[in-house]
Amino acid sequence: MIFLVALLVMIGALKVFGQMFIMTQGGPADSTLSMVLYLYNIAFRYGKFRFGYASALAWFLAVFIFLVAVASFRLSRERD
Amino acid sequence: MAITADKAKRYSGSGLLYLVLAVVSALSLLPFLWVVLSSLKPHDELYSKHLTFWPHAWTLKNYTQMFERMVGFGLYYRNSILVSCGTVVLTLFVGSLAAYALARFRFKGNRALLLIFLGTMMVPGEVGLIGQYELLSSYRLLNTLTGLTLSYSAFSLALTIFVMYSVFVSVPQELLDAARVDGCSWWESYWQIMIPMGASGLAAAGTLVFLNSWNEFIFALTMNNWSDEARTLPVGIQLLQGQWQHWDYGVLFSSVMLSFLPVIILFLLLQKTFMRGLTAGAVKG
Repeated sequence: MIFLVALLVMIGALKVFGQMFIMTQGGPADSTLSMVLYLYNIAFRYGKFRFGYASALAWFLAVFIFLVAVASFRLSRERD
Repeated sequence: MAITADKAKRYSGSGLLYLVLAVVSALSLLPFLWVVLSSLKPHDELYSKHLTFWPHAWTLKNYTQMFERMVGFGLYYRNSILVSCGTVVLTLFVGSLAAYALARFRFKGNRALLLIFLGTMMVPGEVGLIGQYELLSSYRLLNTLTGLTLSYSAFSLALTIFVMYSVFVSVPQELLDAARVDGCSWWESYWQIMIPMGASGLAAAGTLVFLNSWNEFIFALTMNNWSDEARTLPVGIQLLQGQWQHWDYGVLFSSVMLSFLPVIILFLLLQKTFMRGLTAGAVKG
């Protein structure tokens, strides 16, 4: 159970958006930029509406999260 | 938090555990308490050099000021309630029907369909952000409450199916057989047996879905941010920043407090059912 909670919190943290968007807008000098904020900026902020690149970024994030989940499952099974 | 003397003795073995628990709960409660107290502080105390936790003077001026200065507040509030309630109703209806079919009917691809539904829970919602934006834009549903409700429902569906499936699977088959013998149609046994039996599950799923759509930010920000008429509360509160370049903390805190109100009410009302529903599927083993 604690493993599942840890995994869910980790996934939630990888998808963080609101905190950065509201407090710092990713700045100063992109030091608080998160993945979702970056793809949001690419798609809607910079005025060019680069949906293709932003979608690619989103899928990269999804694959990364999937790999993190798989890796955590593997690691937790080894310890049992 | 207040542990009486004999109880403390009984738990002395796990004293350290309680200390840790107390610290953790204080850590998560303090910021919230600070917002509550700060929303009742007068303006000059909020901006004074000396940080105060407990207000020196109490005032409700922040709240009256909020209604004066945040013009769209009532509208945003109404939008948020409409979208959240619409999502809950739509998701619970569609989701419980789907869960009923998946849990109670044997058909080809039954198992695969369930796994696909549960698999969508693994995909982060943000992946669908751009796709849904284009989809809603091509159906002229951007900046409408309908569009946002549909978008939220799509994401909440997997969770609802997951919860309702585990509830419906544990309903005894004999009950359904008996109803069938007495001439109940599948539709009637859904309304008269499954729904009452799964009430606690429905309450749990409904609460989660309501909270998710009430707090949702990024979708509301991208899709419903073109004009006031379809803006939801979180996006509206965030706009406070743009209006005066810096945060007006008094107005900010009081609007946050009011946006928190339905959540507290809902949770207090449904707390018992909620807990029962969450564990209903889990204990079965």
